[in-house]
Amino acid sequence: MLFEAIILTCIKELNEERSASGIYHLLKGKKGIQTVQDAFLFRLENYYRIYPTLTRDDFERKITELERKKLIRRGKESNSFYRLTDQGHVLLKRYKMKCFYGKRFGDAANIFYSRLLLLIQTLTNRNMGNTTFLPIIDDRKIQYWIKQIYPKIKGKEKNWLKGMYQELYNLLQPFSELEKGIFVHRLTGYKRYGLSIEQLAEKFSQDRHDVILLLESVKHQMYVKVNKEKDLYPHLSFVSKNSIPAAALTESAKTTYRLLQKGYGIEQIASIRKLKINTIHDHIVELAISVPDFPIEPFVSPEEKMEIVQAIKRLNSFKLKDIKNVVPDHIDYFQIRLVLSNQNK
Amino acid sequence: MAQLLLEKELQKYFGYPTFRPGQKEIIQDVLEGTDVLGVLPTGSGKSVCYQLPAMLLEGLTIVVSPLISLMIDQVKQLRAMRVPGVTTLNSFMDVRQRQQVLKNLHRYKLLYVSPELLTHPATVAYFKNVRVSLFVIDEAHCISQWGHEFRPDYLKLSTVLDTLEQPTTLALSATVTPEVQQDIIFSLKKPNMKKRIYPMDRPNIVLALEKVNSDEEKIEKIIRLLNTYTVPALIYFSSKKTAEKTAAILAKAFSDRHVTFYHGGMEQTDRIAVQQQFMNDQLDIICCTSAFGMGINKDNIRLIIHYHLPMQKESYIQEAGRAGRDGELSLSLLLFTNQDIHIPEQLIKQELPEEETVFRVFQYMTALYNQGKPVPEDLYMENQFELNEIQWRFLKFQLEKHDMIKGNYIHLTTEKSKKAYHSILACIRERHDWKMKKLEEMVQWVNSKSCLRESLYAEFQSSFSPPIGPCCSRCGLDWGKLPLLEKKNKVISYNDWQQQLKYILQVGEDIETE
Repeated sequence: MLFEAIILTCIKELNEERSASGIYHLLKGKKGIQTVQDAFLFRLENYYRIYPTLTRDDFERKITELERKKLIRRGKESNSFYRLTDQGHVLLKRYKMKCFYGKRFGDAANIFYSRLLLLIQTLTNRNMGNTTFLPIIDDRKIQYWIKQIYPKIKGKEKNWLKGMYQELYNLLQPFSELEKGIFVHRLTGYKRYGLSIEQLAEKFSQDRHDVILLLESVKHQMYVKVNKEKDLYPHLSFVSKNSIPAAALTESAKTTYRLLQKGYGIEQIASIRKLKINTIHDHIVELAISVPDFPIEPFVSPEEKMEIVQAIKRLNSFKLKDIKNVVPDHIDYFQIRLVLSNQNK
Repeated sequence: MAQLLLEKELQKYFGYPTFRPGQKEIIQDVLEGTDVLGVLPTGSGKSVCYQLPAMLLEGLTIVVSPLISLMIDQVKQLRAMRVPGVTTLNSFMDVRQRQQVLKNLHRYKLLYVSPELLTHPATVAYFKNVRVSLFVIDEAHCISQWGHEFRPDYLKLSTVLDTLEQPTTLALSATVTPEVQQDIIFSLKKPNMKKRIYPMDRPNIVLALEKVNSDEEKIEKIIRLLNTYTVPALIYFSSKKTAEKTAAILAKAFSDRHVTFYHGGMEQTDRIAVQQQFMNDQLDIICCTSAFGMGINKDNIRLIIHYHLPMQKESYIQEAGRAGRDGELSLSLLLFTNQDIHIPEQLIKQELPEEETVFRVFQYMTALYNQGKPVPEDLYMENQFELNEIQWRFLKFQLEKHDMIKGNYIHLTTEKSKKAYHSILACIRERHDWKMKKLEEMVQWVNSKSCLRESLYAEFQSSFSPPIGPCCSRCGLDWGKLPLLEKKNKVISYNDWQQQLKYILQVGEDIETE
């Protein structure tokens, strides 16, 4: 049900202005600037990258299912655009949506969670005197983190386990029995491997997608809570320390940013970096979204901005093409995207 | 190296006190620089035959292995055992990660690499700068067109051996006929290779066949068998869906036992979780596809059931051989209906591209050539022509063989293209017929009236050891009375989340939770 509710929410918010594959990219967390910009534009940034392992097949199957259940129907203009049916609206209104912080804390929450899993596995094994075990987390960066911090914990394994237990116990309190169950049965300890997603689905009689998304929601909320009340969660906040990945910008956009700050213009940057003008445009839109107070005035005059803002209001739409059709010809797509990127800030 | 010393090293690196049959002989050979073809039965610890020499020899040991997931598992296990200098090179890694390994080859002792990457010209160059002391070809039957899992890239290995100036070579395989053994030696161009062949029959496994009328009856039989014996069990399926469905049925039927499924379509983390759970005795019954098993070191599997007919005897022998590695009595049961032959027939078709697709690929290649464009990415070709990975790999290899693809470029003339087209179609038909022949042998075995043990191994070896228990269902078998060692897993799992959390985090009752 959660998976369905999320898709329904996205369809509702997109309001037939973006196609269904936009939702797929959003949930999967595509890095492209279009996806990121849309996420903010339609206030769906909390769902950004909450389901990175989603496959196209599964997604399309779900869309077909929603259509068959008459919760959504195809839009008037195009086949790949959807809208909610009355039934869909009713269902969504009744559903208590789970909380996500995708764009802001999703990556950090996952780093926190992976560290936590591997730390529990390591501590429980060491506590039993076992130093050889298959790490359940493959990510080299996470493994490296454990190696780095372990000297601080060494010899205090028991206390750490107790501390982490107490904090996890408190942290899990507000969650439903189902969420608690999924969380604890996913943990791996000494000679005790956590359940796979399929096994969890079977154990709790849930749909696979919902297990994945419930777990994701728990991760996000835990992360936020731990960081809000660091004093209450000394062990877990240690685990979450520095888990925010270095700035959300792509390397390439950072380089463009540096050149902009040195006073180079778009064409100059393109020629220095041997990139297409369009690519530089993408970078600037990315900067406008991610960098607070990034000035868009050098690229859009106040008059042009006014034209675009009014067009958006008049059309009550974020569709680039529609906006382009009604503004004066000298205004280009790049400028429209820049103004749009400022809309939801 | 003195014998005593070898055992000491085995203990030091891998924690085993003694060698299993065949291991020591092969290790001594390769340490002396002799090229060896080693054929050891499934579950006899083939990998130690190169892992130990890799630690003892100076320089690098390269292991070519056909399955990426298996490679990754091996590397993980070795790292978990703190075996130093082990790494892998595979297509799951991005370019930067691969460069990292290639530039630091001198730091490693043991490298697992996929044939595709090793034979890539850009990769081979790096290996010229290091001393390769041992070259291992795992699952060497993949090199033979007549092996049951032919991998075109394996054929390029003899060229790699030339480039590396012929390091000591060890080809390893389980379950190969004498013809395939000859073919391996021939393809590697090493006529003087020493053959170390060990019999593959397993005296502690009881072989059983049972003909039934429907899938429902198969399920009934399985349930009855699992009711009789509470033992670790693997059930093999040809289809992922049926494996999943059956796991659900069995989970319901046996609420006190832990049942799950396993197939190649699952995510890696989950696959490892299931493997580890099984090895830790957290799971009792696994419904799986042939993707499960390789690299699993579980000694006490007592029961192997085949729900579908394997495509050839080789697969059957390998899968059945996962039972009873500890030498205790175990049972392998194959269930079949008269309709079952259609599934492997279908699977054989799916392994080869259809003629019509080959035709369209040729048209497309011609168009690309005329536009001066390179060969598209594998994934693109697979999607565009609805080819699966195996089909496109086959086709690409054929195109390369006929010099129509060189590196990333297309070279063709009308003349050449016409000839290649017909030759590829002929090759497809030949492969198809050969696979059908292998299947026919399997069916014959199933339908024969003679002793199952005798007819199963006849093709591979001249005799077999006397079984330690009943021989097979043809020679007479009392189903319900096999003395299989029972193992009831006492898995601790609490329904109460707080108890479970305490249990995992090893927190005693003394802690206050209020």
